[in-house]
Amino acid sequence: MKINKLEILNNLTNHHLKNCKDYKKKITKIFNKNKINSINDIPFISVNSFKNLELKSIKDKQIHKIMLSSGTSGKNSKIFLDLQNSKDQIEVLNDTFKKFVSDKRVPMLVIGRNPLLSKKKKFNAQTAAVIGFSIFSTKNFYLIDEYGEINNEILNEFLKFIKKKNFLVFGFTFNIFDILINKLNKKINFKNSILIHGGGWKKLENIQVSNEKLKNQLNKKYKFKNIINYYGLVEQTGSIFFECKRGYFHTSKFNDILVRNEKFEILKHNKKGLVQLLSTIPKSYPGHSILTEDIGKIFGEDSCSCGMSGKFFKIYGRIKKSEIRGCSNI
Amino acid sequence: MKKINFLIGDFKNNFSLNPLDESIFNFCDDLSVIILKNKASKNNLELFTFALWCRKNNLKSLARSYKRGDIKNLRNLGIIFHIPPSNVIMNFAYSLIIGLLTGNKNIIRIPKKSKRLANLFINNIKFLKVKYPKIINSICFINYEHDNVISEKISKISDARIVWGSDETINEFKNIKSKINCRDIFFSDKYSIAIINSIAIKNLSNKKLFKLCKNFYNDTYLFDQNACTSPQTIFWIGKDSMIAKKKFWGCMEKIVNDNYNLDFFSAVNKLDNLTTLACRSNNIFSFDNFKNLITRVNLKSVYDLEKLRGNWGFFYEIDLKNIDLIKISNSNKYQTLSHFGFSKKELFEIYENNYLKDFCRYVEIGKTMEFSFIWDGYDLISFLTKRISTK
Repeated sequence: MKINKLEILNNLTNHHLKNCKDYKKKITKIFNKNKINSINDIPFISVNSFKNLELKSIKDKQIHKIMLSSGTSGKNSKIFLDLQNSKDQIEVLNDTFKKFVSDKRVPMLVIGRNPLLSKKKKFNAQTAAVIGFSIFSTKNFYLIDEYGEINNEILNEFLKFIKKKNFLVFGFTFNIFDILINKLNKKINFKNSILIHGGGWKKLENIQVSNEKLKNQLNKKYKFKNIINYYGLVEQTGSIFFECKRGYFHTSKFNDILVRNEKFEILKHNKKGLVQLLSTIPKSYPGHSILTEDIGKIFGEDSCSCGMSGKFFKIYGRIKKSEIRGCSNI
Repeated sequence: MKKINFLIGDFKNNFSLNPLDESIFNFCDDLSVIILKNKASKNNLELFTFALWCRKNNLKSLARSYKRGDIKNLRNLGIIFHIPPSNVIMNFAYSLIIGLLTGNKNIIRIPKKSKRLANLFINNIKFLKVKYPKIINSICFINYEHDNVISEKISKISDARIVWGSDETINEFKNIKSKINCRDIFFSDKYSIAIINSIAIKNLSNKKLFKLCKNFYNDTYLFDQNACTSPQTIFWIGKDSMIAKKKFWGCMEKIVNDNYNLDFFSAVNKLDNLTTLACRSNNIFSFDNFKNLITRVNLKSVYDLEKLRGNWGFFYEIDLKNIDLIKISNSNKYQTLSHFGFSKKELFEIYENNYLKDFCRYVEIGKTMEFSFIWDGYDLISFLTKRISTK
């Protein structure tokens, strides 16, 4: 069955207009009700909307999980999931993972703590990611103990367990840098392993380590078979973008990207601008079309030299806070 | 204790100047000439505007209410500790001039963001060292990592403190001990509005309209509506406000489009502000958004006026048949009311209007940023001097 992305996204807009009062207020007051002819015309809300307001298109009793993101401003994004939405996230991730990474289940070393040790209903992006990626794992090993230290016992157990078998290493980008590059003092050969990392941008920007630099350092120290960066929003968990072997993120049938200028006009390919992300998953909350605070550039569509289809793009970090224009007098 | 970095001068107070002494006006005039002659300074908008402001003629006219007889009875206070705000990078210079004119020694804590400007400024005043040694000795610029121990040390030798904001800094200084008879001025966060006569706009020639809009642009966009004096809400008074607004904003669109440089951060923040309002407030008729450059919120009423805030070209508007219908809640946050298109008689009614009495500056549109010695309800010359009495 060929899925018409535009139709699905339009249906989602209508669904949220019907079921989320605040979404309706936002959209109808701000966007003109012009005919939607392409993905470019789909109304969007800013990523901060989930910080300022509780947006949901389900009844309270249908809430299965509330996902939280750590905000730089101190405010958390709140994402309300029902059971179906949670399942859809995992299904889409599964599909994308198989296409971009591997379709075999192998043991996984998580460069972080075991998030399941805390049994709260509220959970964050890190937990969601670990749980999400766990479906590709036959067994999880958590490198970090509850005190935030490297757990050498677990590491030894893991190395014994995998011997020469293939395995996955997964972690937030900052943790990968902090733990694998800075803290772990053991020479381990990871040549049978694929490393998946993503998220944790804010911390990484402070120390100014580029994706390329991180990749070089990791390859030098551990000789991974492959290192794959992923990009996505907590607000659109599941429909994430994986990096291809040429170093570009690719869209799939579950997601899309648009790049806009300061006036929110669509930019042509090869121009840097504000990234808008679309996802076919969010149904329990109005997060299918979100204007992010990230700067990106689309390089083309269906023409990446890696051979994979979709728009291919790069992300260049967050928008910078404006310099205060001082006034002449007071 | 952290280290104090002296950019110019020291804490010693060896010389004494008489308030509004002729030599101080001459110093300011010479400073103005030097800045305007210096290429690097002249090309800096902040310094250039300051230089025009600190000409002798202008300062004399700002101090004109003080007659020769009054001046004779004024004495300086001693040392003033100035704490300029971080968001108004040239404020230190204006604060300095009022401190000098009142004959005081001035210790000014230069904000990080002003340091480059302060150094440019110092390069200019150095030329005046030989001619005005007393005045140069009354200037001390410092900076230090925020540290209450240092702030207290300086507060304890100061006879007055001027804290230009933010509210946070003011609260910090309220908890810092000072000399027992130290005078404090705290300029807290303020809210400003504009009042426009719709019929006057309707009848305005295109040339005059353009001039008005350019003035309004300078009051608002030039500094992203960051200044306390910058209007947030516009009251349209009289019949035909729809026509007036169309004409006014049509002209603004051209000016803003040609001159304003919107960045991503501002664009996203405006959208956030707008969408949050759309959901939370029941007080809104409609929105207007021109290319993200001019964002207008059409209000039903002005309930909780001082909370309606915007930046980077974000305005609230309300139409009123006549000025008597203006009913806004009292607030000690109100500051500047800028106006256009009213006769002297009508303006008098505005000053007398009970609902507008919390405002303390009434100026024409285009003049909101002009610094004067009566500021935010304070007569700064009187506050920073002692007046002696004789019998």
